[in-house]
Amino acid sequence: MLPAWIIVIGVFIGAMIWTFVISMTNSRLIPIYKFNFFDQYVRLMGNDGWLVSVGNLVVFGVLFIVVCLVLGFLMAIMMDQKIRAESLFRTIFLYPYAMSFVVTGLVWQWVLNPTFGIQATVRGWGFDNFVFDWIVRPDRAIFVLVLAAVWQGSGLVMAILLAGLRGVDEDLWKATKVDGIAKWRVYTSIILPIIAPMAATATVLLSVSVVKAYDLVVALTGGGPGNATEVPAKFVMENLFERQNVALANAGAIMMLAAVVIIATPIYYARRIMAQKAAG
Amino acid sequence: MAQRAEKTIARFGVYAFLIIMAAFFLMPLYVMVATSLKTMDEVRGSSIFAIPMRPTLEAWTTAWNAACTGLTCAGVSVGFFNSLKIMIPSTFLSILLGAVTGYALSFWRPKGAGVIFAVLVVAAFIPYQVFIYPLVRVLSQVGLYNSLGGIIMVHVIFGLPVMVLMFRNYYAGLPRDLFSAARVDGGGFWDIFFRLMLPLSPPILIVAVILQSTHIWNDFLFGLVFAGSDNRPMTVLLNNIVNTTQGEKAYNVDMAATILTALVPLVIYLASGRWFVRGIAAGAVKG
Amino acid sequence: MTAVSIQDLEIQFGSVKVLQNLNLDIASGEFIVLLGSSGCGKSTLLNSIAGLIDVHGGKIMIGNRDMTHAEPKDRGLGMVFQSYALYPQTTVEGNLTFGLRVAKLPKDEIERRVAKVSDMLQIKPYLKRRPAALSGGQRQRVAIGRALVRDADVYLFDEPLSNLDAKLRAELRVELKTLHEDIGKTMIYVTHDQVEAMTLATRIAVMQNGVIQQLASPEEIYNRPANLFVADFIGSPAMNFLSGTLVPQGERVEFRLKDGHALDVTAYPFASKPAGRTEAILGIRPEHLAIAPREDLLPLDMTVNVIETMGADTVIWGTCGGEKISVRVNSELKLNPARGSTLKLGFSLGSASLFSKADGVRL
Repeated sequence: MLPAWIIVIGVFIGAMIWTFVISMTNSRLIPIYKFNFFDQYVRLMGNDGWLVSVGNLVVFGVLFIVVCLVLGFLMAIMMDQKIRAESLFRTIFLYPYAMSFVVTGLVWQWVLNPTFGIQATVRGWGFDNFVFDWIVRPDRAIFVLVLAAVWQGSGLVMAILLAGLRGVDEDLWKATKVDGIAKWRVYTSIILPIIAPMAATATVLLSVSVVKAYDLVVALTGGGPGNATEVPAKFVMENLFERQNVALANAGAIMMLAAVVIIATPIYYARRIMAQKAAG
Repeated sequence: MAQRAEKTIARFGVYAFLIIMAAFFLMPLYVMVATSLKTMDEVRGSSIFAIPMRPTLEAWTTAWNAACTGLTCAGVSVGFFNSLKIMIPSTFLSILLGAVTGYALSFWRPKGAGVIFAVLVVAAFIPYQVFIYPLVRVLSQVGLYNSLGGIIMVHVIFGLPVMVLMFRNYYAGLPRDLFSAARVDGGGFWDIFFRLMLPLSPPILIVAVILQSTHIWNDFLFGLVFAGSDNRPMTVLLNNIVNTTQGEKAYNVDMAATILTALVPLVIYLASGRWFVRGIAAGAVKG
Repeated sequence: MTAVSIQDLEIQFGSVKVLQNLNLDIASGEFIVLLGSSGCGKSTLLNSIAGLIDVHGGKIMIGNRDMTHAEPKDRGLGMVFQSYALYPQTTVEGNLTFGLRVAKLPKDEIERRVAKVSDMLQIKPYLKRRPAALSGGQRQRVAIGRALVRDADVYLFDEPLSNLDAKLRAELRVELKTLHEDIGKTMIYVTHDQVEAMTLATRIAVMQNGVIQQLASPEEIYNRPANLFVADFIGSPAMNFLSGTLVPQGERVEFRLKDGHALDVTAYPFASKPAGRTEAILGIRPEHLAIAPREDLLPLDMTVNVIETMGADTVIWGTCGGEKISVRVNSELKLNPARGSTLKLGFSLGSASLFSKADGVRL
């Protein structure tokens, strides 16, 4: 148990406190313990780079989560129709999840490359005015990020929700058939509430990966064009290792932590309340 | 008759949806492979979707041992072996530590077990950025920063929450009487772990190996920060090759290097099949 | 030969005290059954003797040695579990030898013990099989065997027969009894099944709410229950209870039922004669009520309600002074009284029990 204790106390709790402490100082490269309390947080709120990053993350996060859930749910329902080659489809939908974000980013960078990629191909088919240059357009690049992330993550949502669908009592389906309820009605009003806990799990997973988003951005767009796809994690890393703004970076990290807490806590409690209700 | 027709149309719709989705999911993989098999002339002269006319592995060999990052041109092979050196011990150690801790929490229930478990569960959700700076400071103090030992340690530490969670839940599913019987039979902490629990653990061990090896292989952040220039894992090297080249980009080589990097987790994924899905369910807390 | 002595034992889970000031002395070679419904603390007591849960106060002595905080393996015990708890990854032989291998016993000694035990329990034919390939009865034999090879001084059984069907349970019960007579070791056995308790035990400890209500031989427990709880818990159908008042009149003592009916209970072996009028409860087992009234029996009237035929016996349910009672009679009597008719009953004071209404204790 000793190693676990050391890691739990020394690393997880200790490092978190240390990071918080440094965020209250004016440290640049090495820690200086002269406290100015929340100055760094005030600076952060006035820092354009940070604000843009947060704004980008919100747009990216909301779109990514919504699209992933909708697409994942649709795929799960379709997979649940006693189809042929189910395991083949499952394999295809899930393989991107096995790959590194770096790989995902680089592949989509290439596919969406305006000079060679989809835009060029469609133009080659004779549609000379076809435009699909989101990756180089500051007002569209964030959607490219969403596209690549959905490609990687929606299979996971599908797998989680499909497991939930498979757990639904067969007799329930028989009952709705006897009652003559349309299938889509059954899915929306009966099945969806049953698998809500799985959907909540998937949402937590996706949210956490949104806040952590770093690799994908670095590989796919490098934060550009301009700062159109900058994200907080990247902001923290740059201030930590390139701009020697350690205190500011740690303040950013603490804000990321706060974001996770704000997202995860209500979902956690919602699930507990649901579980308690189910238990009676 | 009308009802049957309706059913057929519905079936058709289902398959149409699935096939279109499958095409969307497979497209990047196809483009990646096709591009890597072309020469640069062919890349420039054809659509990314075009089938390679004269497939060649030239780009693959270049990517493997000659692609450049900055001034060094040794290909991704260096990263491949670095990644192996990082992945194998990290996977082994994090699983061992996770299994022992999960076993202890589940059966021996030492004082404070609840606290440890709670912290580990929460830690699985915390953004790594919160831990990075203190870890860099501490590791450089003890001389492990930018070393193989350091990066392995980091992987073991951050693998612990999910591993403990998985093993604890698995052991909690075993009958407690089994543990009691072994204790009455004279087994101590390690006797019971190695002779009874470990032999009962292959299902969860397989899942853990799949989960940890792919996660560690796919890691970018820790490799970038902690591995140092001598131990850069394949993902970091790949990103450097593709995103920092000066002059004209060799897209075919880039794609070949990308495939090579994706190959190990892909093989693990395809070989493990349903186990991978179970791993996702078990390790669902990891983001 | 090993005695087990439990002194002032105290166990709590969190802030809940499960056992408090519990004392139990078990003589060497005894077969003690801890009997009670679930949650009465019987399994907790057994697990504490085994060393599987922490003790918060008191002492556990095994063979005159203080084992209160000893490791389970050092207590010289063998234990059999309700779920069998066979190690699934290894064969029957592996299960039997696990503890011996951990203890690093010499190989020929291990072989000798396995041979002896597998002979005794007739599990030799499936020594090489895995637990999953065995039936429930075979698994339980193996679990017993695993305890026996340890050559322990004390054997603990935690509801070992509960997962078996009725027929197998009866079979193994007899085997366990024979086993105890053969090896003569101290055995402590937890069950909620009173038939098992009555047939196996040399003494039964009836438990409720973490307290031993009565510790006595099966006969004593059955015929002279120490309090209302024990009287009600043991026996099926349950003992009949009639409430009333004890009225001493000089040398005589009368028991007045609620309907005014008075019984002369002077001859009852009172622990101490009631000093004044005392609210009391009269307990009579269904089979101790005789149908034919005789001179030497005390009379009772019963209004018949339902008749249950149970093979050898027939149980007649009805009321006596408004309280529900039952009578067990031999089916051969071919009694078939009409519903609502009155049946004249009689009982002897020697087989009856009187309890104080205030605290339920036997008078």
